[in-house]
Amino acid sequence: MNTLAVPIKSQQRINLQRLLEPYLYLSPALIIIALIIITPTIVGFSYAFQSIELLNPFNGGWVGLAHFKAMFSDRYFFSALGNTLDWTLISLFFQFSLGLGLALLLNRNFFGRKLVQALVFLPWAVPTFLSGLTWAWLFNPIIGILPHWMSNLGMISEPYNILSDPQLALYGPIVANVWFGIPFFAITLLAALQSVPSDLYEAAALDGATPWQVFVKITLPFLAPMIAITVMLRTIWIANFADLIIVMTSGGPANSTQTLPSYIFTTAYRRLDFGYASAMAVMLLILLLLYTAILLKMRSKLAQA
Amino acid sequence: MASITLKNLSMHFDQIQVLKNINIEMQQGEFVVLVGPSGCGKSTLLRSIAGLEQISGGDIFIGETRVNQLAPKDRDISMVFQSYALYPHMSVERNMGFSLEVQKVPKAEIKKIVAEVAKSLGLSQLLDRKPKALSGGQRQRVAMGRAIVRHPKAFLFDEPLSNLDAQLRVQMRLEIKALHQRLKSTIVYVTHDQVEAMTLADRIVVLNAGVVQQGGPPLEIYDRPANLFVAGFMGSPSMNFIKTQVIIEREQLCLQTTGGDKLPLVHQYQDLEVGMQISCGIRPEHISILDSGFGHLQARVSALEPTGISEQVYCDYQGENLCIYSMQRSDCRENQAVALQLDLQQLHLFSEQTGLRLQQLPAAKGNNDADQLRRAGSRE
Repeated sequence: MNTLAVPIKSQQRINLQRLLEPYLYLSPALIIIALIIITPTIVGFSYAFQSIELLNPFNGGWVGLAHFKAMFSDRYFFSALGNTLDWTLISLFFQFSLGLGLALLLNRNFFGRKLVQALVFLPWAVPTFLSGLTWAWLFNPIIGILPHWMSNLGMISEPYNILSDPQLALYGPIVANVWFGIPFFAITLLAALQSVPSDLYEAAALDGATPWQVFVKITLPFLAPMIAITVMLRTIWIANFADLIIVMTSGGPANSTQTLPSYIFTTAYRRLDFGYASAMAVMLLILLLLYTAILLKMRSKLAQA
Repeated sequence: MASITLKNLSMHFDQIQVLKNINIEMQQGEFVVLVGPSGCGKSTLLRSIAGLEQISGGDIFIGETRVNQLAPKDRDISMVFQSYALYPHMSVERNMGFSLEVQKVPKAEIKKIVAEVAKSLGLSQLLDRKPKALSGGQRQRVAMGRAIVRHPKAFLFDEPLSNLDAQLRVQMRLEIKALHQRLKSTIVYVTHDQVEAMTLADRIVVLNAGVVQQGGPPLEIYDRPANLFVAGFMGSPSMNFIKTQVIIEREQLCLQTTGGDKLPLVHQYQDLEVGMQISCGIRPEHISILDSGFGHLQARVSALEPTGISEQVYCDYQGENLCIYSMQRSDCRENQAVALQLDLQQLHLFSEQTGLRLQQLPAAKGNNDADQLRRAGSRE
């Protein structure tokens, strides 16, 4: 009996070993991921349900959903939410359409194409703080040219700084953001364009398609998967992107350019209220997850069609 | 349907001349095959007819219209690409109807025309599929269907069968031929496969290095190749060439090989002179291995290639490789010495200097040939 039982036991041990072995090899990566991604996320989440105010250090502890309740009666939160929507959609629209146009231009053969390509990608390489400062100066009527042009074109009554006008201030960072984000779409869409087989264009030309028909019926369908993924990525990035706003307006004047990320930043590092900031960050995360889920659903529907 | 005329067509990329002075007239309803080795400019020529390449000189006429400046879409011709170039995101039906779709033909009508063409090509069951769900032969048929749907003035085929396996290629070849007979359309067909050229063409145009080498009906090209290139290129296995010199032996013009063997000439040839260096061509099916006797040449078997239906024997003669094709199975072994008999009626003479064929003159007397044959035979 004993002689029979021993092999079965060792068999079980071997099975267990075989099961665990891959995780042993993966463990360095798993430990690092747990340390630098999962732990901070959990800690961040937990802040959302605590009171952590550096100016009020003895008033800590768990507060449950109090931050979220406060959020719904916070008028600045909703204006920041609306601004985030404007900021994201307007920036995305112009970044995408100008980026696509640029990609189409760069996909043609012309003299000096390599140089122009390199120049186009330059804004992407400039540190955002630097470009934010530069744009802020460009909008300043004392040293910048833009207010004078805008007043000459009749867009504003006199050359003043739109960054100090609560009605228009958000457009300052948006313009800078469009300038900054075009290269991303240009690079990725150009790569997708170059993967379209040239004989499809030739076949379409022989089939009698006009350039517009070729664009709509051949080029766009080919770009669609790339467009879906880049638009999704870009939306999340822009929605989360506070650098330009912080540098150019700091959310002002009178919180008129505050987007959610910049409001979170201000709440956390100016008012030093980490609890409330974390709660808003959790809210932003949920909204973005929702958006991504919808977009992925649409994409799989499109792919099936 | 329309004729296609190329006049003094030339093209160069930068400094490189790709096509030189091409003159071809393709009749309405004719099946013309452009054949040549890769890089000879045949595809470029086809693409310039389609308008996908800019020509540098000369004229292209489709029907009576000079189309040099016309965009591809205005030339009213359709093309079947080597890669098929099917639109991967569209169904077979939309692929085939695309040319009508962009012309804004009513949808119901497109559906009717596509259904008709699909039926004739055996594609009716596949109309809803995407190209990636089709086999090579089916894609090929869709590509042809797309070309047929809009009744163009001419069809251009750019190596359409080269991506198919051998069996399918034979089958599609027959289908293309049947298609041509049914539609009576003008077809320009590019291939590097001379079997395709021989079997499909009303007329073959052989190209090499951007120059037309010879144009004519398939059998004429095979029987009377105009120069060494055409002789060597057309035919599989290809023609054998033996280096010879013209001499007079017993009052008879002969070709003497470098090994000293003599081949009496049974025909009269234009511009033939004693002492001339001649590349003597003979097709593999016109050499036979003798069971006994000396024959014309003594050679050594270097390799055997039985294919079942036939046999190819490769022999080494004075350092030159000769191929012998026979429907009979020989019992040769490698390294065996064999006597080769040449069909002297079937010699092709090419000037070594110019590479051109020496034209055969019509026989002066009826029995002259027989006379010469008897004399040639008496040597054995």
